[in-house]
Amino acid sequence: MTNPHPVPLLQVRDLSLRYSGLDLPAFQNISTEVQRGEFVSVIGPSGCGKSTFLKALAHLIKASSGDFNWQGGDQPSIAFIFQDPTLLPWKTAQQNVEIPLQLQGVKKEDRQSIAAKVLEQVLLKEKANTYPKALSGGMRMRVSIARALSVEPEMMFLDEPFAALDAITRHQMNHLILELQNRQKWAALMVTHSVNEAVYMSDRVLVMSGTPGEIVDDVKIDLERPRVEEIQNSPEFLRHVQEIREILKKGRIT
Amino acid sequence: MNSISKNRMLPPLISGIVFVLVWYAAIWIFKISPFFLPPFHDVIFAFFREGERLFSATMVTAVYGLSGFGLSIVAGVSISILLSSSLSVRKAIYPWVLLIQMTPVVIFAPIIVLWFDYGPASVITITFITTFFPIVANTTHGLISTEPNMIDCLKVYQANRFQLMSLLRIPHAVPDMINGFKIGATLVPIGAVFGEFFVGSFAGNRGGLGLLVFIYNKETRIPELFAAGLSACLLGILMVASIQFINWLLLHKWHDSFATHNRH
Repeated sequence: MTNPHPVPLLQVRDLSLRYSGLDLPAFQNISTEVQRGEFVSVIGPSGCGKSTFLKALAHLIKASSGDFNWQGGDQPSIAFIFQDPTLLPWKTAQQNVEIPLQLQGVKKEDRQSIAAKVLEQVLLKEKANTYPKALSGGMRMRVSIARALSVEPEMMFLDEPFAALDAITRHQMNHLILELQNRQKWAALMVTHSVNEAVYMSDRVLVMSGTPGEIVDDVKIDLERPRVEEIQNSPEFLRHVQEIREILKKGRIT
Repeated sequence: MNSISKNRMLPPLISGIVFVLVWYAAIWIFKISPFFLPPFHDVIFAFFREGERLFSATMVTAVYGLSGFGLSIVAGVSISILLSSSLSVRKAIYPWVLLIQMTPVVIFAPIIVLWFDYGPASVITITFITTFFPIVANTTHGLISTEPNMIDCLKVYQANRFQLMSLLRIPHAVPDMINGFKIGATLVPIGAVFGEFFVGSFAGNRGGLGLLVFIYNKETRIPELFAAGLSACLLGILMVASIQFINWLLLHKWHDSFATHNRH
């Protein structure tokens, strides 16, 4: 029998961040939770603190008040995919994938084997010894994804990872992420500007208001999994997109 | 020789020929005495006539120059790493580095000779001071201009300060570092020859180009003076070419300055 109130993987309570010297907080009073294996998108107008919120959860920035907790107390294995692939240009694709493992002290043979495996998962096995300058934008993003996967994350943060890609490559990346997440069951918190992308990929969409960013709605996306491309033409999909667009419009007025 | 090599060599060759023609034209038009500007061919004859002497002097200058340059690389990179460690450290130390750079080396030279006596140590120190600043300036710039997202990416995976420096900042700074080395390399002959000239005569033929300049000047041997200048230029060219080779060795596989023809 499924527990009706499962303990969330991540619980956020009244999290706020104000940069010193600025009048308005970057974001404020954010409370939410993410369950194991759940895909949650965060959408909102530019400057509302979405990316800052993600960085606070990844301990890249210190929040001013509030807190967040992980299931069991300790932070699980997390990974972060940035909008820029952030590959080190002097390292090959495989060496870039190995970096998190190198930082964790994993032995060379083991990290080479793990890196080769995850590169295969993102269909870049033959590019293992290629330097980033010789890779296309889509390939670089796939290496970035492989690097994130190398640590076997339980929680993946994605900060507009596909914003710089063309529409076709972006769609391919959406599909790749969904496939990997479906197989490996990590939780995800993704910032996006695309309502369609948010609905297509997510179990829930958190809608934030303008600066200072607050969550104004938490929209459950009850579309079937695994998601298929055709679902984007379904009435249910379009209803969710419309719903979120209306909330965003209201958020701009208030 | 392929067409790419020909394209590379032709422009400097042509401009070199033009330079020599302008040289002769200036002598002819302005009726310049050979005392002030000897004809180009006299300089070349002096270069080959004094060849053995110029060669051994250049080798001595090269040893002093490379020693001073090597020290400035070690000290320059080390200080740059320190400067890049925090804004407060940079604010505290960088102005003093600038002060050393802005002070003419001719003011430092007597103090250096006072401390290190007349000898190689003084020449090496003068070369060090001459070549130090471009290395510090460029390396520091490379270390502090690492993209914040790259730093964040490593921090997500718990990179400590040492790992951020060794895995990210230093490799990121290599292109800037090498640019600093290139500029420093052009200053090596200047620093070493000036040092030798200022420090004065060494015993016999153990002096470098600076000593030869001192002797040729005293004996009013003008074509030989120009030939010594040519030797110093060739030394500088060799040094820069060496840095260029190191640049290619370290960067050609991954840096954008080396165009890729196989982009997929």
